[in-house]
Amino acid sequence: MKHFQSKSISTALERGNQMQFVNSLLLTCVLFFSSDKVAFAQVHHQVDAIFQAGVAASDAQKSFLESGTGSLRSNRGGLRWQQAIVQIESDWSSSFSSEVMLNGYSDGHKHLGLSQAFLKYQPIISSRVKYRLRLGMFYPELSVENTDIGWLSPDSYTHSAINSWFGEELRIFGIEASVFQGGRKRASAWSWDAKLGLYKGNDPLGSVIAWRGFSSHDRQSLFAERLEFAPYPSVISPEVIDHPAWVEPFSELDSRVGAYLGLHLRYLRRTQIKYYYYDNFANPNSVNSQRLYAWRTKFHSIAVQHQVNKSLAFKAQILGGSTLMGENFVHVDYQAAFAQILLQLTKRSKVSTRVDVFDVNERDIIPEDPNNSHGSALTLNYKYALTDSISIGSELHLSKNRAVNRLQLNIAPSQTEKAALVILEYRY
Amino acid sequence: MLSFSAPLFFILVMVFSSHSASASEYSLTLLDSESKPVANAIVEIHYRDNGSSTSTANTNKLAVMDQVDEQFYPHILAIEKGTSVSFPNSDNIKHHVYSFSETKVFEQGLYKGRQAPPIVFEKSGVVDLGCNIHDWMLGYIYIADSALFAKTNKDGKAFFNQNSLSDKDISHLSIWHPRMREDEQRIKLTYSGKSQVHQLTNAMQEDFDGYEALSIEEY
Repeated sequence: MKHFQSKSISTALERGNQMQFVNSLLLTCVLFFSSDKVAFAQVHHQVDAIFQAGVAASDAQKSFLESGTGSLRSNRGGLRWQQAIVQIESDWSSSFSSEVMLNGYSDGHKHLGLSQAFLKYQPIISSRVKYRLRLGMFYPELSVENTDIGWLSPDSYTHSAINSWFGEELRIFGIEASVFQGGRKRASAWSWDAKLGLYKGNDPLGSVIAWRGFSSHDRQSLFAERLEFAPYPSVISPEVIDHPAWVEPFSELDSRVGAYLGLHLRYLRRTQIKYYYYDNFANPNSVNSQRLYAWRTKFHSIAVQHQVNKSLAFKAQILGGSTLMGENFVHVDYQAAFAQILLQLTKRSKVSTRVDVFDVNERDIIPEDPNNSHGSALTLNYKYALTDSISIGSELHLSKNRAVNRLQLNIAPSQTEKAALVILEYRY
Repeated sequence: MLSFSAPLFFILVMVFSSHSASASEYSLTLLDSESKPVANAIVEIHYRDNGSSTSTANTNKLAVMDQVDEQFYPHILAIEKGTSVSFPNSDNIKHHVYSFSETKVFEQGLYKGRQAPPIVFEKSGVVDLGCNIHDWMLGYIYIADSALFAKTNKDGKAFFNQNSLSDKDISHLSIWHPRMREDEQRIKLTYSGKSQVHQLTNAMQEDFDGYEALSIEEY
């Protein structure tokens, strides 16, 4: 496959370029701030935190985080440090604020780092149509599942396949402009919010689902973190793809600007629908000296949330898109969906059930590097709040999945992976 | 037997006194255009000398407009001019309260576990409250000229103690509810001394209490 490499290396951006981009982003942030003559003397900070630890039992393939082909965060039982998330919200003036999310994990490549850090400008204005700007590193607000602090889900420890992937590989390094109108002040049941995001970075988005397939977990990738996957021979072989068995998902490789459009529509506070179209406009022939490629990734996402009554709610999301790397070296279509029912049993206890389906279909010209995978998963969660700040929860997760490229590692393509968790959570 | 008769006597006194109090009470019943009672409307009794005697008064009174489940609680707070209002935050998330109303323009960040200083409302009128973070939050502060105001109950009735009205030179009554048409809010009612019923001519604006009834999580 060497002949593809020489043809494909159109741009060889070094790691330094990524840091240069971050530096220029920080400089822009400083200018953004100083333009408003911010009253730094009146800064208010609010700190929120979640710490989770517990016990796990697991019957699964070795996790991708340990260079395995498994779709779960760990295949180990026993005591587990799930995560620590500290979120610092700072109001620099009545219009400017910032949010920083610090995550601590015991697994993965980095154990401490940033998952989000951004500035927000939202002036208090009397007009009914308002606007908001975000600048920095953040998630697009496309999930109805990840509504807790630090992009966690209040409903389950194991996130849906769609949002597990976004937690691994998706992050915006750029600016988002929102124009929105609340319905209540204009005596309407409908509120809307339209968003446009422009960003750089995040060029390798799509790598892990093309090779490993979708996964189910709550391990978010951190700034400048390396995300491991199994050393599939077709991927790492210089004769085939010649790519490392890891990806740094937030890398900037082609100097191109990506974009997304989002539209939120809300009926009272009862029903919400969020549509997003994302396209990173990456040049799939861009590759850096580490042999990381830019992947042209685009997708549509629709997420729905409906509160049936005070104790019963429903959430769902559907995703469809494609990703392309090189001269059709790796080209897949992917679809995933979940549906979740949430039931508040008492003031302190709630239960949720979620069903996931996910599918990745190969369309490229290299059959030696198989990319087909699919599966389904069931997640049952029960949470009980012992106090306002301490809760205990248990979760069962069952995933039946098939990834053809496991064969390369002499592992049966079809696997049933199970995990049981009991998690103690402290909230500050 | 005595141990039973004492509380029974107390209950009888309470029942009797609540009925007998109605004899010295003045009530106004507010009905909408379909003759259904209107709850949470503010009825204010205006008297001729209240403008000069209380215009600069600082009542030293304190009222509370809480934030509960991403809602203002109460939805409508009625206070006397000069009252300080504190805005506690019973939610575990940040709020940012603001008003662009002519009566009082202000904004105040409300942080988890931190008490913001109370705000004094010196001018009479109505203040529309919003939250810059949660656009569905809507609340009202009605600032009356004096302490002669009452909120209608679920039967549409606002009660006043007639003893407190006896020495006043009453000019008129006014009624306010956020869903009343503006021209109806300007109507001045005559105080007759006898309990009365007022029916609105125009239909009230549509009720969007659905914003308050349920809660969905926002990112």
